[in-house]
Amino acid sequence: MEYIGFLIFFGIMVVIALVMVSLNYLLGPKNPEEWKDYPYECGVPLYDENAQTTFHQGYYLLGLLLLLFDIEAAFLFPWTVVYRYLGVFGFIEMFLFVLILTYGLLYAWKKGALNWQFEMEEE
Amino acid sequence: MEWIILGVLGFWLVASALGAVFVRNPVHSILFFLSSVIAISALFLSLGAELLAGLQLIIYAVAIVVFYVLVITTIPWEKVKRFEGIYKRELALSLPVLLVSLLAMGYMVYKGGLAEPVNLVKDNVRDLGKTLFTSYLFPFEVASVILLVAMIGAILLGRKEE
Repeated sequence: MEYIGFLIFFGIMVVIALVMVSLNYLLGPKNPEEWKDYPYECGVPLYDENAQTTFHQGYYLLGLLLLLFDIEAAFLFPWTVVYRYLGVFGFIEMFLFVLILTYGLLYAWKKGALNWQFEMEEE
Repeated sequence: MEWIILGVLGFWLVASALGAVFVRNPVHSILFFLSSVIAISALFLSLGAELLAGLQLIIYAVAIVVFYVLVITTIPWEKVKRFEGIYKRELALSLPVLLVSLLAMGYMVYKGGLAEPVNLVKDNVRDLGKTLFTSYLFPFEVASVILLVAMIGAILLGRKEE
């Protein structure tokens, strides 16, 4: 029963999301045409309806980095709860932890893993 | 009231797990998986394991799902389109295992009852934080180095030679 607030919050969230989506559907202009959602394929009949393409490897790298920083963030949560109990010691401890991981971020930055200008890179 | 909450969450979990298994489109399957992860998190919350619920959301609902999405991008869609139906041989192979584990679980519940928590802690986040950041200080800092190594490895593998 402690978390009834969460449930109410979740309900409100779902309602807002549904309202937004349905308002869009109700109020948006609709003029359907046959070829509107047809994926463009250079004038020839469509070869593959799903129009699947390959993904740039930058997405995979970003996904991996997200995973690792996510685990870092997971450690921060119990730390915030016991911060007062730990005092300066806890601050230094977490400072070191984040510092070591900041090297990872700097390395990624320097190596251009966060660089999204693919076309520039190809040349 | 507690039983109603547990029942609703359990139904949600089972329904989304079944959906994840039986839906044909892999993207829909991922969405069902996400739904089941959130249901598990809600179950943890209803059992009073706040930290576990939070980690379930942070790590599973974000990191693992992102990883699965990355895997989905590599699926050849021709294979998805010519769906061969339920894998009968695999189903037949898994049935005895399922049956035995169900029997074992049933026996355990019937004989011994469910696990009774010993030394129940009131605030598990605080307790875990105290232990993690004092007694297990060194492993905690080592974890950061391991994460750093993983990061550098990922970047090295991902970038082409310059």
